[in-house]
Amino acid sequence: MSLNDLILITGRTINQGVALEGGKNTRENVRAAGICTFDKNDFVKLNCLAGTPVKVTTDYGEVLVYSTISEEGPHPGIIFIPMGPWANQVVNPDSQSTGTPTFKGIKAKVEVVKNGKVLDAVQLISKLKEV
Amino acid sequence: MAEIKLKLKEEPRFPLEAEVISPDNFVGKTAAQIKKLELFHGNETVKLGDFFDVSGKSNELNDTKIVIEGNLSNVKRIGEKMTDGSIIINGDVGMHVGNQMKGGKITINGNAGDWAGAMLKGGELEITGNAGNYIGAAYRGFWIGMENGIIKVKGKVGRESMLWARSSKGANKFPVLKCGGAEAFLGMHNHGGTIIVEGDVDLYTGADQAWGQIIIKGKVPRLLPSYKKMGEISEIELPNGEKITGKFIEYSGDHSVKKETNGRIYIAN
Amino acid sequence: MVERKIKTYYDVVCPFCGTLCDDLEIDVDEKEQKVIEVRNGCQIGTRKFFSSNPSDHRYMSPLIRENGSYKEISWEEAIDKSADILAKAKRPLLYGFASTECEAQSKGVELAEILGGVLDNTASVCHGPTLLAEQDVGVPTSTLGEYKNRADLVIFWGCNPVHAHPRHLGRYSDFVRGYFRQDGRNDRYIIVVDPRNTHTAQIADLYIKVNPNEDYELMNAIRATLRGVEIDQKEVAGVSKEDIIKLTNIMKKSNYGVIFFGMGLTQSISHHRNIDTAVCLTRELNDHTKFSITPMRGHYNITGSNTVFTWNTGYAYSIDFTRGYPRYNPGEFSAVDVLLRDEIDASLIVASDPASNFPAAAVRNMFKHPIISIEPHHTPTSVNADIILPAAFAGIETEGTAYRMDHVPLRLRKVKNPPGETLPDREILEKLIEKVREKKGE
Repeated sequence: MSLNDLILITGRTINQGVALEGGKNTRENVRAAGICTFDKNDFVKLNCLAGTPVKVTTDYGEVLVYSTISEEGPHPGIIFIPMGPWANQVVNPDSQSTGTPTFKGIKAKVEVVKNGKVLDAVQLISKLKEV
Repeated sequence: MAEIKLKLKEEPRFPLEAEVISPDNFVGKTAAQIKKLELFHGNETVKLGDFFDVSGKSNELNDTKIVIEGNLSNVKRIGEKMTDGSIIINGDVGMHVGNQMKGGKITINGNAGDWAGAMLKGGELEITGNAGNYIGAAYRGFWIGMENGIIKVKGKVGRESMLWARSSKGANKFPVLKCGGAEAFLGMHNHGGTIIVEGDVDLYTGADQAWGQIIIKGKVPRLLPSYKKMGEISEIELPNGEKITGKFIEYSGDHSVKKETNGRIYIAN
Repeated sequence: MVERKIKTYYDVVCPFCGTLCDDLEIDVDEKEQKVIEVRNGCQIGTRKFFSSNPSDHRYMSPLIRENGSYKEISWEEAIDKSADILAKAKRPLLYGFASTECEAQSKGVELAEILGGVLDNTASVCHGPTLLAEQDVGVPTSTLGEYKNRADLVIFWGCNPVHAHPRHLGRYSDFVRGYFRQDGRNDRYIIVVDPRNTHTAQIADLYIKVNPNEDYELMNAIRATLRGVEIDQKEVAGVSKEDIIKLTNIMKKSNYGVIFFGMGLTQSISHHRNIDTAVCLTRELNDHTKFSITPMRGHYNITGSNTVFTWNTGYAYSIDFTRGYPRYNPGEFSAVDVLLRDEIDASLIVASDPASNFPAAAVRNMFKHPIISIEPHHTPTSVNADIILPAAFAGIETEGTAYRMDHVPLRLRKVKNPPGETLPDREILEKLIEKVREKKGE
């Protein structure tokens, strides 16, 4: 199942902040920042269990993250990925000459990938090194 | 007409800062002397001749023409502060081209980077392609940007074009931008600039405009809520006396700045 | 029975976020030099103190990467090799300087100047737009203490303090008694403006759902309404005209209002113009009542970084020294932009983690060139660095000054010694400065 015409927002969560101080290369960090949070009713349309990996795609990239249901809804049409290496695969790097990339308000679409493998921070970032 | 030809022979690894390339700096110099002028590449000083082939010679300042060939998209500050003469660039050019120019003419047969014609004080800047963000804009921390002169862009201009433009009726200075299309925040903080768009604009046109005129012949997705529709108009008089005719709807604003304002946006009907 | 000597430190300043809480109590086992307990800190601050204890993700000695793995080397060799890379670079990037104390930040400026490189701090991906707006239109602001004592209207616009500044509400802006706010929470009216019904919105008196990326138009509509101009539209940014008028009146009728704002405004598409219009709105509200605005700065000393860079160079961030003197232009000299355009040939990353926090395309280019990381513990940046220089935690293992989000400077404490061979950032940077000077023949 998939959802199109979504808007992606990225930002802080307390869990991501705690995990960040505890070591960014841990399983805790994946569960804190390698996730995508959906509005309760939007999630129903995906027809999968919470925790199932989903692929988030924007004009700037794609990333596999675990799906979760938002405690900060309702926000139909909006998905949220905590700041961090997973979010940074898909945000808009362009700063419009201001210096600050556009981390919030990016058009996105989502697809369920039941057997998808969500990488941890180190694995994800290693992919950015040229072979 | 004396002509000096520059041809980029090697694309720079880092941005090349070339503010020395202007008729004012070339006047009275031979090609050999021009080759020895300094450019800046990363934290090293290089010679103009390291990156450009140079030929020709200069004449009187107002008669000096510099023609530059090559992909100059990583070459910055060409034509900075020039007061007369002309530059023709056959290719794309980097940031800050013609910034703080006082007179003369720069023609770019290609696209221009950000801050083209920034803080323009006079003269003419013409771009056949597109321009980046901040064209004709004020630099950071300045509340007065383009004060005079004219910028013509056949293609599209980027965001915050003509930021903080300021006209002066008493001094007879009217900064003008003509473009084929524009991105968001066109005419931000406008204080008297005149902008004519042949095509479409994006959001937030005329944001924080104190006074001035923005004429749009193409489409507008929506205007800011702080603009109020006034009515239909068939003739617009520009501050320099020029008149534009056609069917337009007149809007006043930006009313977030003032309750009563001389700021206007005209949208073709 | 094991004899333990536990010392309690009072009034410790927390080195996590811009709220810079100054009331933490830390119990330290003096013999083991370990943090045993943290009182009064939020979850994240507490975790930070504990993460300074010895563990397998804390760096204890300088490391150099050889054949894919890290080898321990002496400080002398590490500094020599690092200085070599930096001195030879034609456009090195020095980035970070947020999670460290002011003296280190000052050393960073000195090093960038000697190297002729690009100097930037984390503001450029965070509240840089706030500084850009302040440079254009100013900022009517005050201190957190004033807000705690006076503000009866608190607006959180595009920020979520429950998650990002957990004790802000309890110490300054919401659930706290103030001199003129003796009834605490009941003496205040809290408004949250956000596209999502965040946890902060859920405990507010009024939640306004704004469409993503449309905050600019909403503030613009409020400003026009404030001027006495009736807007033509029935709805702006998903908010009805009636609600806009209602909100404007709430603001006008308050005794002392404050707007706290965050990334919702700086990182969405209008960036600094969101702040520009928010500042203008605040200023215009002062025609009717008293109003202030304050950015919710993220790192505990990013404000210090901006302050120190400014008093040294005249500029707060995104500074280029390649011409021998400081020049400022975010968009041209900002870290992400110079990386996206691959305009640097080496980087020194201090007290920050760009590999995690920069867009992938910028990280990709950063990895193409040598990286020297000054860092206390494993991060995605440090594990990809060529040389790791192990740092002590400022505010835990070394003293220093930090500036709170409202520019109030507070003195960071030292509650235990730097472990292993770690050194404070300022000492590491001083060593680099000396070695680079030597190599450049000064």
